[in-house]
Amino acid sequence: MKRVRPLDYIPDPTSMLAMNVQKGLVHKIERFSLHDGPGIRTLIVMKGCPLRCHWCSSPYTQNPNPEILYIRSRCKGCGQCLETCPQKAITRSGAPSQVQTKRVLCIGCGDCVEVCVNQARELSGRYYTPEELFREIEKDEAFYRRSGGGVTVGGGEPTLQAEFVGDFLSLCRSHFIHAAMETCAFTSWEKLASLLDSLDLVYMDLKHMDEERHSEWTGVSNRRILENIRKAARRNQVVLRIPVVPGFNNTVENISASARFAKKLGNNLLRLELLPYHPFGIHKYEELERSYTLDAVQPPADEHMANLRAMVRSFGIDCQIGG
Amino acid sequence: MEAVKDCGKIHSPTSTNVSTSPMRKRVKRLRENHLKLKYDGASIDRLRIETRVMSQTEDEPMVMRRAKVFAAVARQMPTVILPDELIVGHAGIKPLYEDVIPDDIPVLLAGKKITPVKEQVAYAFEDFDPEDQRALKEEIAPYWRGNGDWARTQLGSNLKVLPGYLKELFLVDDTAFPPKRSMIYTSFIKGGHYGHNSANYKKVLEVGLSGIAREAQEKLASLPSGNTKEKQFLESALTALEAAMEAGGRFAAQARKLAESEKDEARRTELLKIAQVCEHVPAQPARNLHEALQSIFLLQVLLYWESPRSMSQTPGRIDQYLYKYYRNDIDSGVLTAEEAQELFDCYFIKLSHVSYGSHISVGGYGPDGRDGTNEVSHMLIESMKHVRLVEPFFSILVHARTPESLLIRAAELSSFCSSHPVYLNADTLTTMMLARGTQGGPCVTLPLARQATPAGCYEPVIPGQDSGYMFGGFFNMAAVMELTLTNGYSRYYKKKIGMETGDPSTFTTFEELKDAYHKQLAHMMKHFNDASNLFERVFADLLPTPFESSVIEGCIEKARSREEGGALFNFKQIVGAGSTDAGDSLTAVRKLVYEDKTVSMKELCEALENNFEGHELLLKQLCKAPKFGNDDDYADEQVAWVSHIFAEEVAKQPNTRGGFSIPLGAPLQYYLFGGRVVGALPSGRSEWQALSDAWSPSAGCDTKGPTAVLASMGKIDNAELTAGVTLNLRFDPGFFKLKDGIRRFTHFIRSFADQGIFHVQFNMVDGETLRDAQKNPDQYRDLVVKVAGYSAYYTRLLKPLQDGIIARTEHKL
Repeated sequence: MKRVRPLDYIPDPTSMLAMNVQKGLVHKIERFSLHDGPGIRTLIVMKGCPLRCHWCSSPYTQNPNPEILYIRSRCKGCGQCLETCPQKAITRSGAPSQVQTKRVLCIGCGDCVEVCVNQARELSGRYYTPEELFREIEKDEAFYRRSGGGVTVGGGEPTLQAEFVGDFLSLCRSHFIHAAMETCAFTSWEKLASLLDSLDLVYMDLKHMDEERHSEWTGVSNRRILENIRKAARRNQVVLRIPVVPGFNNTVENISASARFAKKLGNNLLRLELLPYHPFGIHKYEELERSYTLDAVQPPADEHMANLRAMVRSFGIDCQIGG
Repeated sequence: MEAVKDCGKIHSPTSTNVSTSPMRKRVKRLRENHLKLKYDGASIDRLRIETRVMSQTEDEPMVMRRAKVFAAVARQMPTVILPDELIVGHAGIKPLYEDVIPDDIPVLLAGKKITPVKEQVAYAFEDFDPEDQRALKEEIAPYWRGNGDWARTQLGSNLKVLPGYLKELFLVDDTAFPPKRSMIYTSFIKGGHYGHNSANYKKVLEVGLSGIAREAQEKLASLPSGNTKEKQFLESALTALEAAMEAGGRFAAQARKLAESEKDEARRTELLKIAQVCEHVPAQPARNLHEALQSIFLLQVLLYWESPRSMSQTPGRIDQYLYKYYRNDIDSGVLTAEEAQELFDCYFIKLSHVSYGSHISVGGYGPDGRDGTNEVSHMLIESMKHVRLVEPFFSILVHARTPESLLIRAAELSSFCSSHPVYLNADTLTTMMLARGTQGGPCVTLPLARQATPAGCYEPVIPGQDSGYMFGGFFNMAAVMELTLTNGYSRYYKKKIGMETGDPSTFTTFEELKDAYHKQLAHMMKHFNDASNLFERVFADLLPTPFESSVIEGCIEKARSREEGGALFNFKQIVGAGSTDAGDSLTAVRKLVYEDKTVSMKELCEALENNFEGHELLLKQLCKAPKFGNDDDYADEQVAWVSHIFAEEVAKQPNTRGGFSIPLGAPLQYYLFGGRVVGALPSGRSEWQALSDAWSPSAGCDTKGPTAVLASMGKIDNAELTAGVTLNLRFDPGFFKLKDGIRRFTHFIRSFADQGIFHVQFNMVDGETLRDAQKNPDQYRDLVVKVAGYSAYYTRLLKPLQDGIIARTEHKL
């Protein structure tokens, strides 16, 4: 079955150009993050991703522009947003007391968020200068110091905003704050390499070893990804992550091919993490007024995950389930 | 305050094996038997004794009459010893029951229910058996009713002494008896002693009650002749001590009696051992760990016999003063470590059978400033893991040199139990005690400050040196905010109850508003203290405690009861509520009225008057204004200021025992009641809603996670709130399942201490909370759960996924 890449919005290239290059677009800053590296951390979730993975649990971060989240359960249908929207992008929807946003028209200005009495609208995407972002993450410096934690830049795909992320990471470096990055590795080697020197740890995704399956489910080929992982592991400590999605990549063949690939990366590979597919991102598609295509997929069974882990470990690779 | 007995919820599979030593079968049986115990309802047995003695001694001084009541109770209370027990004694006839006290009588006769703190099972007049009902009505009530004004009870006397202008503030309706209380201020207008103290347990261990009696006799002999107040006190103390010294012997006799008919050889030997121990303590000094534990436990029972219903008679930092007995026994081979562990476990189970909220702390500083952690500290955490009951309240005193091993054990306990332990900052605790001297009390020396122990929830006292807190009552800072914006008019009482601090629409600057708030607060505080001092005198006149005074340093030397200022340190606490509501209100006004000028003060006041009806957009803007708890200086600054002026004004209030008042930030459930009398506030809180819980952020307003809450809390001067301040943090137990969860938790605790915050208690998110969040999503916008390797806002997940998380939480997956 050929899957169609969802494209229910039109990326606006001009907004990226118009943007001051010194600023980066961040979906959110999550303090007290515990899943993305050692200790107590702050996770910077960047906007924009070149991949369109069908199982994506963080669809807010795909769009490289600010956009509106709509929390339907809070909406009372008062209509304030309809009147305020400068683009006339919001209309009444079929259901009483509900509205709909024409995403093609929306410019993510956030005016509707301001007027919403019921906090049913949120803006995903705020611009920061590297210094502003650093001041935010510095607030939990005491926690990093105590726990051996630090900062993790994830997304989205951080290398899409490589210049900004590079400036931010060098601020972290000069303050001796541990820095990690999560990347899909679908980027030019130059951009990736420009960030590696400022990083203590790199998380890289390995979604499928088969090129065709990879592009069917993510929208892009895995060739450049595999190449970047090989190169990065020559210079940096790397953790590989495989999102285990039933029906896509959870076969013994694929995971053992992945383990063989990982084994060749040598000593800089710290471990391989198997992240079981989960449905906890579905509400986010609703908030973006998009449809979710993996309704029928169930999380992989614990037993299956344990078998896969045992298999990876049989290659002599440290392996864990979950981040 | 929860009514559940069992805290044995296990949140995480990683924590099921955290016990480093196996729990002995005896402890398991004792625990199970305790959980099977039925709550026996209220009893008038003690009240009968009290009424009889009081009516027979009308012409004697009150302190002697109270000593005689205590002596009669101590000699007549039954001595029950339960199977398997090694440490014996009960506060009452049965392990779980509630004493009726004189103040309850008018309430019961009026057909109302009484809800005891400890078991939270309400009882009414018809719940007593017919004979008790008759006795209450015909024998007991007539004495306490007296000539009709009930002046022999605390409540009756309080009403008598309260002048009209204060009566208005405390009571809604004083035509009925008992009167309807107001909630603008509350105090313990009735209900007996407050407890919350740590007597000189160490001294009782070292010299025995007999040693203290000798001191009293010597002091008595040194006094000049004549029937002075001093003499009356010492004679009363001796009367009380004499009866108290017999208590051990009575339990010993019971143990011997049981031994005679005991068929099991091993149990017979144990009973004879119990008899030997009780024949010696608490009258004589303790010679080993078993005697020491028995001695401090019987002392606690005796204190309860004198002041029924008093809460948290606190043994305190027992790892500090029991260590030498433990060390001695181990070194001399009297006891193995396993046997010592069993004794500690048995002792902890017994703490469910005395006053509510016995507080035990471990760790902290020794008097010399070195780390106080020892083997007993570890063993007591182990006991908590074994016993897993609501009692005792248990805290870890943390400072920079607290060994990681102790914090790891504590974190394991956190992963295991829903509410234990509480984490307290030992450095802030020490600073608080030293700061008391600057607030009008006598100077506290550094070694004494380091020995401070938390009582009750955490209120620090200097063990054996403090009078015990006289409870000053709850003070409503949110109500002060309303009065400031109404020029003294209360929306609930529909009349002027505050000071006229000016029409707010005439305030041209934010500073003028803050000045008005400060003036209003100082005015209300003064009235509040006037009343609470009158209540304090009623305590001294009606309820002196000669026995408890004798185990508080200073009372015998000065020949004065603690109610008359006999102790070295004499403080009264005044409890604040609504600081976050007041602070967030100031922030919202500052932003909207004085900076953005989106609304005029006049329009704002109108909106408040109408509870925001017709002002929905304004309400939204108010709600959107920065809020405390998000590490935002703009908002945190105002809450810190309100907290500061509250602390400052409290510290100015003298009490009637030569001491002063100290501020406390633990309003308990008052945040619910206190909200019922406060109209809408600029913070966006609607009328009659609950206030924010203690000093915590308002419900649903902290959205940046626990590190941001700690950062905001750290901006409040915790140390100047010298009776302590509460921070409750909601926490997902899923945390402990993470890789290195325990270790990351200990780091989190270290960072908490780094912020200078005094107290943190974790409310582990349970199924009940999650279901409530489904029903009231707006109250739980901040609720974050850890799922599938990341954090999610619970209320935004789809319903089936929410249900899945409830199932996960409750099935302890």
